[in-house]
Amino acid sequence: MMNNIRSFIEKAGWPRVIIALFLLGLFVMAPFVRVRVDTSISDTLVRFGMNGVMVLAMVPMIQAGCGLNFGLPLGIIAGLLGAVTSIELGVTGLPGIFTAMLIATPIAIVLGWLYGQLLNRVKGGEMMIATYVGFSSVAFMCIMWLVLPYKSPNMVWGYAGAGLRTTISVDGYWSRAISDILAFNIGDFFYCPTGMMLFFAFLCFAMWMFMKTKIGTAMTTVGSNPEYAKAAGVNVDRMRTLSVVLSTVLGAIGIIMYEQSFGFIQLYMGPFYMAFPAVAAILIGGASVNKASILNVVIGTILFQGILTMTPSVINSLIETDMSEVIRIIVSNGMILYALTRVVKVKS
Amino acid sequence: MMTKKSSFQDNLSHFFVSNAVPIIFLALSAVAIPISRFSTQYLVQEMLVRLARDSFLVLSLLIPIMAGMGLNFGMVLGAMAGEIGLILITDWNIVGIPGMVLAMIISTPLAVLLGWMCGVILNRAKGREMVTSFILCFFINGVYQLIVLYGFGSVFPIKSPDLVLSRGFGIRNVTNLENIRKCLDNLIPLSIGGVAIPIATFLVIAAFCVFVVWFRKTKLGQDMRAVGQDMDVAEAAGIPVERTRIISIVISTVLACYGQIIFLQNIGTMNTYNSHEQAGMFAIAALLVGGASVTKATIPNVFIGVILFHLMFVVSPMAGKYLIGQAQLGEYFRVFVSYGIIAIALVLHAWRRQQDKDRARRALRGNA
Amino acid sequence: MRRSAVNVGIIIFFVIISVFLYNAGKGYNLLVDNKAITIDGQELQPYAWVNVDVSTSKKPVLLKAGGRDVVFVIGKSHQIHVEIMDEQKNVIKKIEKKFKLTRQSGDLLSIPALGSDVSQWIQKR
Repeated sequence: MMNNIRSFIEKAGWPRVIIALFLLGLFVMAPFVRVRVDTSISDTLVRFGMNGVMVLAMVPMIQAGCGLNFGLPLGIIAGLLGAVTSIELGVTGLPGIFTAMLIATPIAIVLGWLYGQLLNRVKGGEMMIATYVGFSSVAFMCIMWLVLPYKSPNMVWGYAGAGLRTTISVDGYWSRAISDILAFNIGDFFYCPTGMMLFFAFLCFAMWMFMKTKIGTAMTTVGSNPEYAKAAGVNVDRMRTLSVVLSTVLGAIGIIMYEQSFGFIQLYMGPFYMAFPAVAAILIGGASVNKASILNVVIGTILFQGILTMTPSVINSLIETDMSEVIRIIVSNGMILYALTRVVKVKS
Repeated sequence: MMTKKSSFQDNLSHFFVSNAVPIIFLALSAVAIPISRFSTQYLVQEMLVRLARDSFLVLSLLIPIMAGMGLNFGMVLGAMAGEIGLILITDWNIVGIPGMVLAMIISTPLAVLLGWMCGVILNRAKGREMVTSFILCFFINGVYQLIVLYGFGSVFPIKSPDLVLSRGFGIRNVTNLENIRKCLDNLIPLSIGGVAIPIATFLVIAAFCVFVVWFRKTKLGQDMRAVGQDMDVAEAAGIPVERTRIISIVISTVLACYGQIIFLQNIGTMNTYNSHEQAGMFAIAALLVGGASVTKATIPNVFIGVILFHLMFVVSPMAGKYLIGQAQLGEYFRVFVSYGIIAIALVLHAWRRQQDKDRARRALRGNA
Repeated sequence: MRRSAVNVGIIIFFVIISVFLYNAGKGYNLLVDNKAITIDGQELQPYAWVNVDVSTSKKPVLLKAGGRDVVFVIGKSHQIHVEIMDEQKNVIKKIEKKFKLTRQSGDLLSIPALGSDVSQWIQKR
C-alpha cells in the first residue's frame, strides 16, 4: 500500500500532489467559512470549460519540441478579430459564435504559419522569442483596434464614433451560446455549462485522435528526437510549422470559448498576459517543456482553475484579507519555474 | 586599388548590418522629432536627466551578458530589494544623501540573497536562462507583494502612517520619496545655458564604468568571459563554472539595486508595486537599442541605447498626436517598439546562432 | 582564519557607518512652543513675541504668545537662536544654546522654559 502511494507521488511529482491536497483542503474548509460548496463547484466547472481549450492549445507545440507557447496571444488576436467581426456583422446566437470561429480560423492559420516560419529559424530560443512576439503583436493590435474601420455602435467609442472600446459585451449576441446547450441548474446556485464541457471534450478527443495518426506521431517524434525523425524522412520544419498553426487555431477557438462564457471581449492589453495561466495550467497537469498529453490538460486545468476559484472565497473569509491575486501569482509562476528547472534528459 | 575600394564598401555594409537597430532608431527619431515640435533645449535637458537616471540600471546588465547568461531579467529582483530599502528609510525619516546611502547599505544583503537564489535557479535551467529569469521576476514580484502589501505594517512594524494603507497594513501604491528627492543629482549642481546637469550622478556612473573596465581585466572577469564563450572549455580549464555564473548574477542584482535607488531618487516618488517591472523592461530595451546583442554588450551600447530609446520614448506620443491626431496612438506605438525591439534582437541572435550551428553541422557532414 | 576576520571587520565597518548615517540623516519634526507651561511646579508664562531659529531648519519661526509651530530638522545636534521680544517687537533678550536630541529627551521645545533657564526646557509631547 505504502509503496503504491509512494510510486504514485513520485510519478505525479511533489508539487502536483501538494497543489491537489491544497485544493482538496480548500473545498473541505469551504462550508466552515460560509462559502457554498455548490457555487464553488459550479464556478470551477465553468472556469474549467472556459480556459480548457487555450490549455489544449499548448499541446501541439510542446509535443513538436517548440517549447511552451508563450506566443498564444497571436492565436488570441485571431480569435478577437473573429469575434469582433462577427458582432459587426450582427450575427447572434449559435450562428454568431460559429461565424466568429469561421472568421478567426483562417486568420489564425495565416498568423500561425508566419509565426511557425519564424520559430523554425530560431530553434533553441523559441520560448523567449514567443513571449516577445506575443507582447509586440498585442501592442501592435492596440494601434489597430483604434484604427480599424469597425462601426457597430455596440463596440465603438460613443464620443468619437471611431475606434473600438476596451471591453465589448457579447450580451445579446452569443453570450453563453455554447455553454447553454444542454445546460442544467440544480437549485439557485449550481449551473452546469454542459454545452461548453461537451465542446471541450470533443476538441480533446479530436486532438487525442490526431496524435495517434501518422502525422501526429511524426510530430511527437520531431519533438522527442529530431535527428531520428529527419533520418526517418520526416520534414522537421513542416511538422513544427503545423504544430504552431494548430496551436494558434486552438488559441483562437479558445478565446472565443472564453468570451462566450465570460460575456465580454477584452481588447487592447487584455490578451497581454493570457499565455501565462495556460502555460501554468498545463505544467501543473504534469507536462514538461517537451512532453504533454491530454490528461495533463484536463488535470492541470481543473487544479489551476480550482485554486483560482477557491482561494479568493475561502482564504478571504478565513483571514479577512484579499490575498487571492498574490497567491495566484506565486502559484502559477512557481509552477512554470519548477518546470523550467527540471533537468531535461537529452536523447542524442 | 580595387581591393581598397571594395573593402570600404564591405566595411560600410558590415557596419550597417551589425548596427542595424540603433541606425533604425536614429532614423525614426530624426523623422519624429520635428513632428513632435519639441524644442532642442527641452530634448537636451530630458536626455541628460534620463542618462543620469537610467544608465546605472542598464550598466548592471553588462556583466551577465559577459558571462553568457544572456539578458538578465533578474535585475528586477535587485530593483525590488532597493525599493524595500527605500521604504524602510522613508519610514525612519532619514533625509538626503545619508538616507540614500543607508538605503543602499540596507538593501545590499537582500539583493545579494536574491541574486544568489536567481543564480542557483538559472544554473538549473541552462540553455533557458532568459525565460527562467523572466518568470522568476513574476514569481518574486508575488513574494514582494506578499511582504510589502501584507507583511509591512502587520508583521513588520511601520511607524509612519502616511506610508500605510487605510486598512492598517500594507504600503500604499505610491510612496513619497520626498526625503531623498534629487539628493544625488543636486549634490554638485551645474547649469549650462539653462540646462541643469547632475554632476554627482554622472561621477557615480563614470566610477561604475571604470569599475566595469577594471573588472574585465581581473581574474574573475576573465573567468566569466571564458564561461560566457564556452562552458565546457572553461570547465576543462578548471574554472568553477557554476559558481562564476552565480557570482555574475549576484553582482548584476546588487548593481541593479543601486541603479533603482538612483533612478528613484531622481523621480522622487515610487510606484510601490510597478516601478521595478518597468525598470527591467526599459533597461533591456535600451541596451538592445544601443546595438548590444544577447552575447555581446559594451559600454557605448549602454549610453547610445539610453539616449536613442528615451528619445523615441519622449517624442512618440507627441509625434503620434500631431501626425494622426491621437496621442494614445503614439503611446501604444512606443510600447510596441519597446517590445518589438527586444523581439527583433532575440530573433537576430537566435537566428545567427542557428546559422552557425547549421554551418558547423554541414562542415562535419562534408556538405552532403 | 584571516579571511573571516577581514569579513567580520568589513561587516562591523558597515554597521558603524549605517549607525552614523542613521543619526546624520534622520529628520525630526520638532514642536516650538511659546505657550504657558508648568515644569516641576513652576509656572512659566509665554512671552509676547519670540523669533526662533533652529540651526538646520530653513527659516526662523515667529511665534506670538500661545503660539506653536513645527520645525523640521536633520540630525541630532543643533543650535537654537531665540530673540525674545515685547509687544512692540523690540528685542529684549537673545539666547543662543546648543542642544542634542536623544531618545529620552522628547521633541517639544518650550521657549518660556528656555528663557527662564529651566534645565528641562525640552519636553516630551
